[in-house]
This record gives sequence, C-alpha cells and structure tokens, in this order.
Amino acid sequence: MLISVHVPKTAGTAFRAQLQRHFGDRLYLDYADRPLAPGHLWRRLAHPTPTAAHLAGFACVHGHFVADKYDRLGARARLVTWLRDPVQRVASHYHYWKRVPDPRNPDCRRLLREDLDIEAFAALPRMRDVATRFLGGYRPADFFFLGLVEEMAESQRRLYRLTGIEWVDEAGNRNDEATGGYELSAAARARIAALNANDARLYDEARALFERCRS
Amino acid sequence: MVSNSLKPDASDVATRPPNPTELERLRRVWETLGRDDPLWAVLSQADKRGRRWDAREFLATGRPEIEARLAALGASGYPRRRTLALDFGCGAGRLTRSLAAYFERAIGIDVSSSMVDTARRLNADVGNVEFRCNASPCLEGIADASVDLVFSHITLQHIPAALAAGYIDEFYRVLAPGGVAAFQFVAGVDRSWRGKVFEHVPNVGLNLMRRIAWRRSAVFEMHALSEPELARRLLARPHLRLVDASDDAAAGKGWVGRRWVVANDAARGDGSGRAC
Repeated sequence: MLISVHVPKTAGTAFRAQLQRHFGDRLYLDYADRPLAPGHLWRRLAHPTPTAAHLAGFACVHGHFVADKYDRLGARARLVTWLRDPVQRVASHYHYWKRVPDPRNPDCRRLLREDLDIEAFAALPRMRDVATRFLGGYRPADFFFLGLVEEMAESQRRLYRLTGIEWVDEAGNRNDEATGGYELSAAARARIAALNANDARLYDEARALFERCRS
Repeated sequence: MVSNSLKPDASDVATRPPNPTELERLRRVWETLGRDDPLWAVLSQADKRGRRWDAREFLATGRPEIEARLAALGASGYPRRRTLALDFGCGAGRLTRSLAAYFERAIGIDVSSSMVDTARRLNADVGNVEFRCNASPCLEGIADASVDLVFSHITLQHIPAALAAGYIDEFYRVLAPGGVAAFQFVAGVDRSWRGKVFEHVPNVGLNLMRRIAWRRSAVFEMHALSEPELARRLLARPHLRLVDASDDAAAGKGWVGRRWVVANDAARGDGSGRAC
C-alpha cells in the first residue's frame, strides 16, 4: 500500500488528482489531522489510523498527515512524498494563503490581519521546517518514491516506472509560474533558508539521493 | 518515529559491499542442507522433515506455481520471447523443471553443489534444462541482456541483504530487452508476535531457536531487503520498470514478503549491462 504524505505546497494537490485518476475508489484521503494548525495531536487522536481491515479495499492513502501515522502497517506500507526547495515552499505557501485563505488556521488569519511580509510569515514558529515535521522522523532514504518539484519531469517519469501512475498534466492549484519559482532577493532567501535549516538538510539529502539514481 | 520494520537489516545495503565470508557461510549452510535433507530444505513442511518428501510429489508442486506466475506475467505482455529462463536459487530444480516446459532452455543456478547434484539427478529426464553451481556474488557465465525470464522464489530471503541486492543488480544485467525479472523477497516483518520476535531477536538468537526446533546444526536464516533502496537501484537503470509489486505470503508467518516484477523496456541492442 502506498502511503503518500502531502507536504503543503509540494505539488501534493496535483499529485492527489493523479492518484484519484489512477486508483479511483481505492484511494483513501486523510486530510483531517491538519498538522500545521494548533491541536494537531488532538485531531490525530480523534481521527486515529484506520485499521488494516478498514484499509483492505484501498491501495493508497494520501493526505496531510505526519508520515509515522501509518507505522502500524509495518513493511506493508510504502512511503511516497514530494519535496521542494524549502525557500520556494515557504514562498508558495505565503502566496497561496494570500490568494486562498484558510480561515481555520490562526497563522493564516494573522498573515492576512497583519499583512505580514514573506520573511515575517516565514518566521512564524509553525511555518518553520514544515517538511521535516510532516516526515515525522523519517528520512528521504526511507521513501519508496520521493519526487522533487524542481525535477518535475524526471520525477514523473520515475513515478511511472515505480508505480505505473501516469501523470496527466493539469494547471490546478499552481500559481508560481509552474515550478520556476518565486523571485526573492538573495538576502531574503538566505534568511528564510536559515529559518528552515532542518528542511534544507532534508532537501539536500533528497537531492543527493535523486542524483544517485541518475544513470 | 522511524519504525525498524520499514527498513530492516538492509538500510545500509547501498553502501556496504557484500562480505565474502557471508557468501562462504551461506554456501556451507546450503551445502550441508543439500546433503542432509535437500527437498525439505526447499519446501520446509514439518511433516516432510527427515527426507520424507516423495521426489515426484515434490517436483509436481512446481508446475502449478510456474503456470500461475507465467499466466500473470503474460497478462502484462512479458516476457516477449521465451528463449532462455533463469531460475536463481534453483535448489533441487523443482521450478527450473517447470520453466523448461515453457522456454527453449532453462538454467537453474544454486550456491550449493550438493543441491545442484540433486537437481541434476531428479531432472535427468528433461533435455533442455541445465544446472550450475554458482558460489559467486555474480551470475557467472550468464551474458548481459541474454535472459528472457529471471525467476527467483524463496531464495533471496535467505541471503544477507548486501549480497541479495547485488544479485538483483545481476538479474538486471542479464535481463534481455523485452524480458522480465520476477523475484520474491522479504520486505520486513508484520505486527504479529512472530514479527516482533523476528524484529527484535538477532539472527544469532533465532538460529539457536531454529537449531533446537529443527534438531540440526545447519539452519537457514531470513534476511529482509529495503524496498526504498531496491527502488533507487531500479531507477538508476533507465530501461527498467517495476510492473508489479504485490504481497507474497511464501516467506511464512511474521514476515512481509513481496514479489517484484521488473521489465526491461529497452529496445533490442540497447546496452543495458553493467559488469559485476
């Protein structure tokens, strides 16, 4: 069973569409935990991991949850995720919430109420090292498939070669000149990177693994 | 929290080269098992221990297994040709014999010369089958891109991870364009009490229990492979594609077994080999 961890702003919504097309009714969506918002652990308790029997008819789980949520499946689980350059991920998140606010999230409300600039947004404690928190102690090497947004075409080819999932391109939920990225000054980029040092290490590790697979 | 069951003893498989002493130890164990009770060592049913397998009954178990596997492979369109099949870890030739019925030629290879002797004796009536002893980390004498079907069942699970991963690389080397490698391995343990024992007790301890339970000194071990690492090894070869990865119960209770079907989508003549 594929366990697909949707790290926010890493092509996860587009990936979800591919999974829905490929798996149909065998896709189980798990978006109830909302790990970025306060009270995540309570929500996780309120929406416990489905039992193996409950998941029997499903081939894939996808959603916003911390990767260890499905540990009880043991070796039957094959972890899948996408990562993105941490600075670009923060920028995408910032612009996305300005464009499509999430009124349930206090950080989003604060962003809009105080009209935070991107660096102030990046400095919010819950907005730092988001990918690291979603991976929940796992490292890139533990993932059966790990796509990189900056290597979209090659990642899609690899996805197909490992899972048979063909990527049919759609433009939904994307407003950052596709994967070209947001313009940021070198200084702003450095400051945001420093605020996401764990994510930067994670991304570098994923990059190194990605390059190792190039023939 | 990182769960060990997701990455059993193979988490370092890419960086750790196969250890020659592991291969020698493996060879010695299977040499002894092949001499003492070869058919039970392949199909370890409790009521067949002590040379109680009837050879004909034993060999007959291979046919339905191969028929089912080939039917499943055929549905995906592989292998495109049926010239040569390779049975890795052939033991007494139970499956090699059945493969020979569907391919122009079948080769069974095994680390144990005593097993190979048994295989030759039991399959002397089959003309297009050949058995070779291969106590090497490579598939010696098998040319690059020459095999239409590489088949391995309940073999990789007994081989230390780094060595087993190297053999899988060899499967890919010998796989012909349009060919397919179908191999079973253990990916980890399940959440049962048996799985917990396998997860937490090292092989040294498990071997002691096996020696007592089986009343013999030579016992086979179980080793798990990391699927993420295997995925990266596959991705490094652009002509390969994982056609199917399904659960397989052959490893027994407590283990999570997997069967991978990897196809070589290269056009004929593409250089896909990488010397061992």
